[in-house]
Amino acid sequence: MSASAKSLPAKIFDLLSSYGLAIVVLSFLLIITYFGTLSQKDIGLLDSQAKYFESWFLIHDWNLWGMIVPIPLPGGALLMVLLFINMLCGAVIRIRKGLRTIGVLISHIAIMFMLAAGFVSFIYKTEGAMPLFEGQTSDQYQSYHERIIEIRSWSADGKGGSTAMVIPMKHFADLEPGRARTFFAKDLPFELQVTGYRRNANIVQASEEEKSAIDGYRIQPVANAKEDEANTSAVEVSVKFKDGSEQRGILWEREFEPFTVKAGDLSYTLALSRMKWKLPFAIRLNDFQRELHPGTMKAKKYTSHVTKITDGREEPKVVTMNVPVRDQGFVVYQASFSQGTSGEQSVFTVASNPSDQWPLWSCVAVAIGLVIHFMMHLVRFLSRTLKPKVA
Amino acid sequence: MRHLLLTFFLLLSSFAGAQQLPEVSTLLDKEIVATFQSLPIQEGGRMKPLDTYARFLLLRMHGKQSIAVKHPQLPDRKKLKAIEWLLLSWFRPDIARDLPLFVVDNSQAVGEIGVDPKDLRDRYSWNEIVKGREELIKRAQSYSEIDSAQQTGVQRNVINLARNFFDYDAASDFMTAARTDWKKEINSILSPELAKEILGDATSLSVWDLALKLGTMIRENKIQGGSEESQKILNLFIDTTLRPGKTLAFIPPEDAKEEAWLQVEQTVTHLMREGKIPEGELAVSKARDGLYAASLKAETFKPAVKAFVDDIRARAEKRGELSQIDREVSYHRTDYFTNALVWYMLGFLIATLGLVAPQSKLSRWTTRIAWVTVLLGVGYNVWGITQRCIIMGRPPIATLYETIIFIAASCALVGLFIEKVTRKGVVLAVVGFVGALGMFLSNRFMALDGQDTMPTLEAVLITNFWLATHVTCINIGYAGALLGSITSMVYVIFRFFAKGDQSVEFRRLLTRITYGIMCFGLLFALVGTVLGGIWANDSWGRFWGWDPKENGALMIVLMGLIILHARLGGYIREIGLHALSLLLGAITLFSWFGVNQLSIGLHSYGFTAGISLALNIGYSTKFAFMLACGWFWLQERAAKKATA
Amino acid sequence: MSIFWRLQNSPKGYPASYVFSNPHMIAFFLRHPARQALPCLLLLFALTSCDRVSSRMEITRTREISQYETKPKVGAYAQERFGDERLIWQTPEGWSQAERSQMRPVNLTFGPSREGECYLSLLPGGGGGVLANVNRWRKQMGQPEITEEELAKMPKKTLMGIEGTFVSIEGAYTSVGATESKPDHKMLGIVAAMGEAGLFVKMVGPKALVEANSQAFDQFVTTLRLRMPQGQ
Repeated sequence: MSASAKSLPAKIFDLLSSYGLAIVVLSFLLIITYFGTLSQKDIGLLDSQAKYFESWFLIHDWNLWGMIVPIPLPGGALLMVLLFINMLCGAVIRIRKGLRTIGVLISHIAIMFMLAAGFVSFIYKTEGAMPLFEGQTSDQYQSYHERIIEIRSWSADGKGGSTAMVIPMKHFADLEPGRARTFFAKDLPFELQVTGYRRNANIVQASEEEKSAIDGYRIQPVANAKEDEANTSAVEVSVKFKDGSEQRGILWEREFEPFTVKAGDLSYTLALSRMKWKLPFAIRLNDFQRELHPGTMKAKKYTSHVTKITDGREEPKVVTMNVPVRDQGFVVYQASFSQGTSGEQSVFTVASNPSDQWPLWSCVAVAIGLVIHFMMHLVRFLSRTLKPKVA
Repeated sequence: MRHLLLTFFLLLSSFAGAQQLPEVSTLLDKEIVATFQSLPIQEGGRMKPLDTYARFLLLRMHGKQSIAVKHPQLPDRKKLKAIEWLLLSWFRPDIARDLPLFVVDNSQAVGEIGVDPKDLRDRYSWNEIVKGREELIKRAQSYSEIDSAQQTGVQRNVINLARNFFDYDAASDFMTAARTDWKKEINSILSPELAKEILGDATSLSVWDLALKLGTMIRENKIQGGSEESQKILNLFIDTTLRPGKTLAFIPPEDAKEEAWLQVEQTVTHLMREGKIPEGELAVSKARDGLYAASLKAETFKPAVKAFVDDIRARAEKRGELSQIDREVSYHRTDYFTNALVWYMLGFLIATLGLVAPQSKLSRWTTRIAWVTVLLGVGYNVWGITQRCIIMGRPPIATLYETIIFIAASCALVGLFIEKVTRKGVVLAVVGFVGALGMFLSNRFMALDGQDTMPTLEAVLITNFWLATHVTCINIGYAGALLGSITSMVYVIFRFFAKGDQSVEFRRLLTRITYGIMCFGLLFALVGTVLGGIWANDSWGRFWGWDPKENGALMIVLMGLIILHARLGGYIREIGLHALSLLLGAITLFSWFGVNQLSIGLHSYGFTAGISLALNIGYSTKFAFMLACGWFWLQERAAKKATA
Repeated sequence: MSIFWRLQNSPKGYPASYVFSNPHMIAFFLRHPARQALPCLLLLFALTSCDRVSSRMEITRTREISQYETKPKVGAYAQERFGDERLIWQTPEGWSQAERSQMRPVNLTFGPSREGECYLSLLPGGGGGVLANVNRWRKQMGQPEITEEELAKMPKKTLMGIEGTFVSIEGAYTSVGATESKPDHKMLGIVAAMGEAGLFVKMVGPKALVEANSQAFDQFVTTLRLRMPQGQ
């Protein structure tokens, strides 16, 4: 096996299909999983997920008895891609196919399928909350993390357009004070300059002589909350009309009403909010029940009696813990509830994920594969250990 | 103020003469104690026998389920069972409040409230702590405003002491209303006309008659709310009957649809407010007071207790809530896991004895005996778990405590299977050791936690399917990884002591065993982890959320896969495998308990101080053994070089 | 689609459609594992690459408006938008507004160089009751603590409809976090408890300045009120 005899692609293939690569990749995955878990304490789940598990590379600040040591590490995305390739090359393509390896083959393909499921859901999955008071109906769910700037148009008689223009978070989240970006669209009579994005902020009254104040207010940054859901972001916008005039405003996630500008007969409202997705059906909450363990305040069961409305056709449904309602690729879960002044509010999680059920199939296949494989090993182990006794 | 009144009552009762108090021998009669044990009550959202309530109340306050006593009034007793202690607290608080009940880990905590400290960790009676009552309230309140992560040990001690003190205060006041001379109290508070109207010509007055009449008078505006009189009456009620804080819910509601059992506080207030309550509820409430009167004479007490308990049991049975009560009494009485501890331990010692002289006649006998004792240990362990499942009507694991007893049993069963195959006696010793360790840890955990080990579950956990599949699989995975790391430890120990060709063969066997157990663990860990994801996807719409507990499980799976592939690739042989298996053990400890100590995420259900220490011991042991592996490796390499 | 574009540049230069439509090609790829790895790699990278961000961008995404969505108010002015209308007051003449915060929803300053301050604060937890708060303030002014009986004798003033204890303390003022005290200061304040919550108005400054502004303090307190937002 002289290495020089092999062509470069063959060498690359050998590397990609090697046990060595598998061990290295798995070891790094183990390390970043450990660091990523610990870091949740400091930076919260969402950020640690992005830093450690959805990245190509990262630098981990290792706290060694008070001394910070920066360690460059491969990110989760890179490692999972490598792992996929490694399994493909090593356990699917290169492996000797036969009865002995059938278990290995099945379980590896199943794990690859699971990684693929993760990848598909990373790209295509949408997930959000749908809180409903009793009697309330909704057909949309709101993202937990994805902020957007949305622009809606209104005619003079107060009628709104049927769609809103949406600027996704990744197009403005990098616009810290001092950086700006201009957005345009052919239907818009103005261009929109966005700047000064703060992930967590309050709006405060500016003191009288402040120059940077907008309408007497300014954005006051607040330390990021550990749970990203609790952050209320804010951004400054500047609406630039074709005639050179300009109107500035502050958009804030917790604002009660949007920022309005007028252009001719039309009004435009601008708001910073979380992305909302529409469902192909509506849910009306008829009754929310919270059963408690008797004599305590500990919940035993949350149950929402809802009506699912699809094109005017009504169907009664029950959503409860561990029993969601599924339809047309969307799943409605009972997530939690909140008690407000205006009654009980049931909070649903809605998710749409093309790879929703893939892990289940994959799990069954992995289990079958591993059971076949280990059973064969066990039989061999037993026969080997029992043999000397006989001899 | 309340304290003054109470002392006043206590003084009053002691002045009234000793014949007014029930005899200790009457109270602690075996039959009486057994009858009370099986009284069904509702606590923490479930039905349980009074015995369980007493055990965990005492455990929380005292750190043990029995209390050592040395009291002139208890001349022939050295120790009281929890239920006996509870009865004494009810009927003879004058004695019970003298017993060294409250365990305080750091004497500084009692020093802070102006009570004379004893040893660093010691126990104090109610009568000792009551001197610092005001300071205790003040300190506990201000300390509990501090974020729990920032609290010092002493501050936590003070908060716990306050909680225990007032809970005991309420528990030991159970019979105060029955002891109170209501006629006298009313005469001293109300004007003669009003008192006359309430008392009439009755020779005695119970709290129930009083509540009924007072309620009417308040509704008819004969007594003004907010007046001095009504304030005094309210205070009297608060001091004797309407204890703030939680007391015993032993009154089954008459309405079959009503799930929550009632406390006397509730029936008294209902009676006062509504003028009437369902007959059964009133009868049970009154019967409690009757118990006290009956307790004054030995011959009346026994039938009274029997009637009281039987009545409540009959009502519970009608409601379908009695079925598991006696089983639970027997479960606690049998003390399965302490029994298992003893048998495992014996098995371990006997099997180890046999290892000293392998292949001898002695070792054949020790192995046989060890098999029997270890099997008894496993039997108690498994049967105890089964009893718990029947009592709670759910699969074996839903709490951290249950993971310990389950993992111990799984390790033992897997170990016994391997012993059956390999027949070297060594795995038998391992099983005995792991089983005993598990039982010991489960006991320590229960004492640290001080909570009923069969709590009701959070809504999302109430799903038998996932508890039976995901949770069980994951824990079998933990068990495999831990058992594997322990056989690796045996390997290291063995390698230190044994030399020669025979030992090489045995080492190889140990390696194969470790590898086999590890693969078994990996299979369950992997499937269990994925099942967890599927559960998560089914109940809140995300398969994987990088939650710390999920990550912990993933780390076990990854480590298992690394070992598997490293062995297949020829990167590790014996020493390497054992070193990595030890690392896997450390990772499993992290995932099992360490992650919960991080206090983040969805799964962090248990934060018990003291676990950190045990964990650190666990990690250090594993790393020490890994260092030993490193040393072996260096040795081996040197030997190879020498021969080459 | 960028995926196909990248596949067209696969090592052999075959268009992707050809690769996938020709059974021989599939067989070829299957037989030569090394060649299969690269396209797979490219495929994965192509799928994960994201779109570029530039300084001018067109808005392309839209979102359908649901019939159940509540209609926002068009043309709302800033105070309305930020829910800033709950507290209403008149700033006394010569006073000015300083930066407000969650802790100080109303924050005013006065005096020639703005050395006097007067603000409203609200503690949802109450901070230990009226007495504890009065004593905290007394401590800031370097004065001894008072007892419950003395507190009961203190004058009362109404703050936002709730009766509170009026406090007037003279002494050396040490502000929160400061190490040195400022002598010859005066503090006026009202401590009102509303259930668990505590409501405070506090005015501090040099003694002469505070005394000159005590009328203004009363005026501020009497005009301070809460307006319930409409519709919410």
